[in-house]
Amino acid sequence: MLRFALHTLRLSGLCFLVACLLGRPVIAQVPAPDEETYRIAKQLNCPTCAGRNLADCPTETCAQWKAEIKAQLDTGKSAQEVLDYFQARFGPTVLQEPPKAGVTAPLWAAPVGAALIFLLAAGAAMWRASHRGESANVAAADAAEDPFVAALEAEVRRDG
Amino acid sequence: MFTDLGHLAVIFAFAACLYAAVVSPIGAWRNDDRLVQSGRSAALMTFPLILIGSLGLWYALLTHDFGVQYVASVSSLATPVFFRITALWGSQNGSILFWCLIMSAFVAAAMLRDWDAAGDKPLLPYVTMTMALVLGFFLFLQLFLANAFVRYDFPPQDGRGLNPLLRHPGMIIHPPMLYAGYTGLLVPFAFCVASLITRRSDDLWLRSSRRWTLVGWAFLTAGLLLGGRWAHDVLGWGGYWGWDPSENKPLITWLIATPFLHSAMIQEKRGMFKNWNVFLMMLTFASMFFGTAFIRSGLLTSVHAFAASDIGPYFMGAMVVILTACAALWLTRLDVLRSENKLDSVFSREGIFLIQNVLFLSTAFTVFIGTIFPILSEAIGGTKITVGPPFFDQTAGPQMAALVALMGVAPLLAWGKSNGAAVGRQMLAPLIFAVAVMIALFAAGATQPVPLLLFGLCAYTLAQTVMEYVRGARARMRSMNESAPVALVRLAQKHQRRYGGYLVHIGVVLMAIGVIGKGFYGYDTITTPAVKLNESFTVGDYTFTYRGIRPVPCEFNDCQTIQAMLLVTSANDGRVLGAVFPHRDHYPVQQHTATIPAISGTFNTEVYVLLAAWEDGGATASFQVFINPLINWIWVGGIVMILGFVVCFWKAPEREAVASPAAARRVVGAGAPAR
Repeated sequence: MLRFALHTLRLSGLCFLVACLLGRPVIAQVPAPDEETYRIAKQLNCPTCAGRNLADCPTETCAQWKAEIKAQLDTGKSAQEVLDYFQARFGPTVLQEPPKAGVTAPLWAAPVGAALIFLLAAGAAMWRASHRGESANVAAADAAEDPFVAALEAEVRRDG
Repeated sequence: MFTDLGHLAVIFAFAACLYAAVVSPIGAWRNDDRLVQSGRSAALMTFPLILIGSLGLWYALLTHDFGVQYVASVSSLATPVFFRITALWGSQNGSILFWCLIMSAFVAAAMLRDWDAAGDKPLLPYVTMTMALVLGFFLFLQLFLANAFVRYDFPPQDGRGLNPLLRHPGMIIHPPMLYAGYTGLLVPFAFCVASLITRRSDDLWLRSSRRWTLVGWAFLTAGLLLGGRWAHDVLGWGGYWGWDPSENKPLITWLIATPFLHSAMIQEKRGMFKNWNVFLMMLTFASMFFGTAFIRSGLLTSVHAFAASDIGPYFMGAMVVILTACAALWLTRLDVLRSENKLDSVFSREGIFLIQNVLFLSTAFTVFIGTIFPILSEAIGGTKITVGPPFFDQTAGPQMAALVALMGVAPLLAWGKSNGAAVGRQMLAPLIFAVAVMIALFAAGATQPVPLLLFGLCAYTLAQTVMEYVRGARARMRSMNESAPVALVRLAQKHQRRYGGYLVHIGVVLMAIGVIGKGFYGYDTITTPAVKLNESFTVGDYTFTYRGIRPVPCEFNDCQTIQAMLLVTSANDGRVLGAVFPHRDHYPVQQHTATIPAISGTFNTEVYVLLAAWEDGGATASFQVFINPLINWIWVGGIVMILGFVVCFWKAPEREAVASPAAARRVVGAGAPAR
């Protein structure tokens, strides 16, 4: 475990490093990559490799899709318009983030609903539990298990 | 020959399971201890038998016995010894055998405990029965559906070799860890079932299986972490977590087992929420079957599904049987699971534990629904709708943040009832610390509101947890006249579960810091256009200069490795920071190419470089760069979590002598009103 965490810097060929350092860095900069196409592709699903996004996928079809994004951007469309185009053509399946309306609305509602229902149920359970059974002397139970913990609890939590 | 002997041993192990499952309950029913002990011995024997089976398969792997179909499918003449050993769990059939081996080790260990001394002998026959039934199911799969010992009529000359993706230390340890996590949780499940069958109302099953639960939980945690590390190092996504079904599956189990560890304490301390604990335990166990059923059936496509096959329906069937049996058992025992005590206040440790429990469950449900939505949408609407990481980030993320906040409040609350003013006073110092951290971060340029708030939350919880140690150590220093370090060590020794647990909390917060850093400040580039030799490109604060590619010897001589060389300099002042060597490994036999990142940078900022392509023998090449801030905090946090587990688990002899708190509660608690 420790080994994985610690090897943040990996130098495999020391000789090569020296060669690197001796060579003069060249100023020529490569033109900036097409950032916008990439950002849009990141939000679309790859049509061929399941579970990956379009940007990370190297297949031929994906290259065509990326070219399509680029072409649409060049005609002056906004990022959202390009995404809308893909959604209109291939359905909500194409988006990495399913839309919050339409068929995928229940998907988004489910976690919120579950959290609310669970919390309500917990509230109801607590209400019931507070109206049933006997009260017990918790401090005494704590003390029986461990006098030190009980003393600590009493000192830092209850007085005041 | 030896391999066939192994096959025979596994058949015997299956028979021993059936025998133990039948004889134990009969012994209990007839009150015949000899039958119970006979069942116990049979269950104990499964471990040596399955070990012989595994040794048989290992023997075949080590001696290149390609007559065995499994051996030919996961190894070749070129596969080195180390990977021939780990190939035992390199593919489905072998991995089920290996799963059985680990599970039987837990079964044997449980059978070997001193049942008379522990005072839980009435549970023994039903613990044996439950374990034997579950282990028997997996042995059934192994023998009849995914037999690793089947031979070819005409053995091939050479095998296909191990999947190249699986040749990472993380991947070699990750499956055994996950298996140990899952199978370790079989022990508390068996105790739970036995407790229900014998209609017990006390917390015996919780106390008897507590340490086993911890072991299972710790292995599951370690398995998840190693899986993340493996994805980070080998898959070349730049990340550590992709919300892939096979990652979500153990996560869901973890998200149910963790609240169980907490709510078990409510029952032990206060005799409350007994139903709830039974429910959580059963859900934990069912989640394991559920996940395996879906992934192994190929219903869910996963980027690393190595084991899709036709055993899915059997898992599904087993899950239905288990769920039905559990539900029936539970519903007929509701009357014995009444709460012994009344909840005095929501503003108490048990109240906040319950809130934490339901938040964990709703998080688990969120991950679950996102994972199975593709299947649901296909079944209902006819189209398989993919759910990408943004869904999980936006839904599970806030719930996890709320859980981090609860960790900062729960330790302040007392069992029974809490004093609001005292709690408020103790929150003050950590809150001031959190605000100071936020101001410092803002001044340093972290101006996005959401991550700033989240970092503040982490700072608060971290400070509050550290304060717990300070308060405890101070109390000891005063009452026992100890020096600070001695007080701290004694404190942890005497109250392992409490302070080990807080150490786990610290680990979780450190990990959260890493997740927030990578999630909000992580940066990745599009694959660069072809970079010519000695040309540079800049990403963030880093300038990379391409120095060419070269073939390098492959680690195990079964692949062709091309390594690129890049000089890294600071984009700000031109200082040379080092060199990175991303490479691509092509495996001709498996027709697979692995893109292995070069990982560099500082502790706080990781630079992750991939070699995307090259042309004309390296005259040009293109790269993809990820800048991953704070990602290393995740691994450090994980190590701290495991250390916390070690503190919890380390056996302190004097603790064993203490009488059960439930018994104490019954003696001293009668009639006395709560303060």
